[in-house]
Amino acid sequence: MQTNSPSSNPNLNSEAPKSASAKSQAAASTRGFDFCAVCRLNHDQGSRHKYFPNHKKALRDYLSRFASKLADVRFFLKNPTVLRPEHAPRNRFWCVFCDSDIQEEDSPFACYNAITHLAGAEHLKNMKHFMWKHGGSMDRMDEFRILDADFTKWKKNCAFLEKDLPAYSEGTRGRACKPLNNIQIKQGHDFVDDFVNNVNSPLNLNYSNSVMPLQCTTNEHEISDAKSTGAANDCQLYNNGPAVMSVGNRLPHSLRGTASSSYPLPKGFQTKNGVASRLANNGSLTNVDGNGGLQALENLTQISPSCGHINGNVHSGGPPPWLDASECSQMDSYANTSSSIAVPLSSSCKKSKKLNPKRVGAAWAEKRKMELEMERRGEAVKSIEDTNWLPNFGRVWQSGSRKESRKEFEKEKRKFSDVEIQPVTPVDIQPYVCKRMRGGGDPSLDASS
Amino acid sequence: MAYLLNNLTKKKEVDCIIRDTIDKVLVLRFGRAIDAVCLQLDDILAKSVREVSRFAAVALVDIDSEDVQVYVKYFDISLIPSTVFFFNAHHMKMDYGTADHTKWVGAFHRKQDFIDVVEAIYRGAMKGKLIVNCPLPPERIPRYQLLYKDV
Repeated sequence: MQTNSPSSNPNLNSEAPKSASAKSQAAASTRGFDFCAVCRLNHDQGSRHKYFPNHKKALRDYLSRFASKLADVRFFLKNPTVLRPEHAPRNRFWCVFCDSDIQEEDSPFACYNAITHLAGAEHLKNMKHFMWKHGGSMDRMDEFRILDADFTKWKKNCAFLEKDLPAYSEGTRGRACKPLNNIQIKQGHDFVDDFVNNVNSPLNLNYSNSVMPLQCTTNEHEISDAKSTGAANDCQLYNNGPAVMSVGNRLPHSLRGTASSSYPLPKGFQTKNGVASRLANNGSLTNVDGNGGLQALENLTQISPSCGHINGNVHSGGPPPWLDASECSQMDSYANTSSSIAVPLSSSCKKSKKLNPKRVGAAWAEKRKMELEMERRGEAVKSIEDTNWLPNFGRVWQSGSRKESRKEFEKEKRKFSDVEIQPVTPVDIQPYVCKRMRGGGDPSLDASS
Repeated sequence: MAYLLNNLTKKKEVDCIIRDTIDKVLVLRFGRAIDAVCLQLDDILAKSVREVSRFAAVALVDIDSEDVQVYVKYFDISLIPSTVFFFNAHHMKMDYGTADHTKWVGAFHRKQDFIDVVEAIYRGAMKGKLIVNCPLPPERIPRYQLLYKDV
């Protein structure tokens, strides 16, 4: 590289095209090159660059990207949140109009500096300049700044929050000063000790170590006592780490109450295969039943239709209680994932030509694919989101077409709901009025009597 | 094991997945994550879900959820785990040689059994059949007692 001849010098090389196209060179030199931050491009097109379609497209993307960032900030504008110091470095914000990085060091609330910046006059000025330079529409200005009304409201909320939770914010900050301990590494060393400690204090259950839940295959009490099962669920952990109980060398008897505390657990008491273990809610270890595998197949659990009202726990995918408010958004995210499960449309379009047109539900599939395609394009397809929708199903004791299955089920449901409703319907009790009184001296009644 | 798979607790979620799984077999396992046999079945499902992913999707439905009771009743589920198969929102039946053709009851003995069953259903459905024969030998099909309705 060092021994390059002068002819390979890029500066010298660039002389040749310059002389070749003198006209364009002259134009460029008079106008000068500009850097367009939106297109990330050096151009010599002058101010007309902003009317070019490529620039317009880039600007649209640029602004929409910024708007999505701004949506996060707006969330904190609506719900002021105390910012923990350990989250402060992550709570940064890049303002594209002012070309400045807004840090949140030492700010009491999430996005405090960002919100203050976005509401400020400096930002407005820079934004106006940006819009003038890059040709954005001025009527969209309010999208990229925070209005004074919102800002004052947010400030009021912040003041309220500060007054309300001074102890909380102090507490969180004090706690965060301590170094965070890496539980992943520590866990491996002292999980056995942890386990013994846990067993010693059966009421204070804290299974942060890798204890696999014990499973008792006798499920009878589980159904009869659904409440206790629910409580037991809370202290179960499914983990991939090393487990303490093994199926091969099971404990010879179930450990209960105080006996469990005196039971020494050997160090190398680890499992090789998937272990089904479980801790009952009284803190005792219930032993694993010996019949795994084939025999367990026969022990199918009979569920009663009136089984308990246990909501799904963390393992069965139930929503955690603190996410109840965002149920709708969860639904939306689910809808997105479920559509991603479906065959990718572009590839399936090619594939469907090869697919048998007489396959099960071919018409349905085509219809649904069209709907999904339209949804993807953003056209709001008002496919009737009926809450009572049921798929086609042939029931166990049903003969005849599958439509009859659904009809029968709906009839059953109606009957069931009627039975439920009937006791509720009030019965009008009216005082007895004798016929003569009711007749009001009707001559025909008098005559007949 | 249930945490490895898609868990559904709402009727709307079940509706969604039945509607949106197109040209693939949908395997819906109705059960309880802590049940012993469910654990065994979930293990097999979780291990084979990737292998069947080109022609099948697997999801778990929690029968304890209040919202899916309508499906528990509609599908006549009285034993758990019960596995129901769908193709293009159409229920697929299989003749297992047991009383109930509408669903697979119990766990599979091994991963290959599950894959075979799903493949048989997929091939049948692609030929337009709503009921197919079970490819497994009878000794590998769990036996159970099904009470007659309303008895």
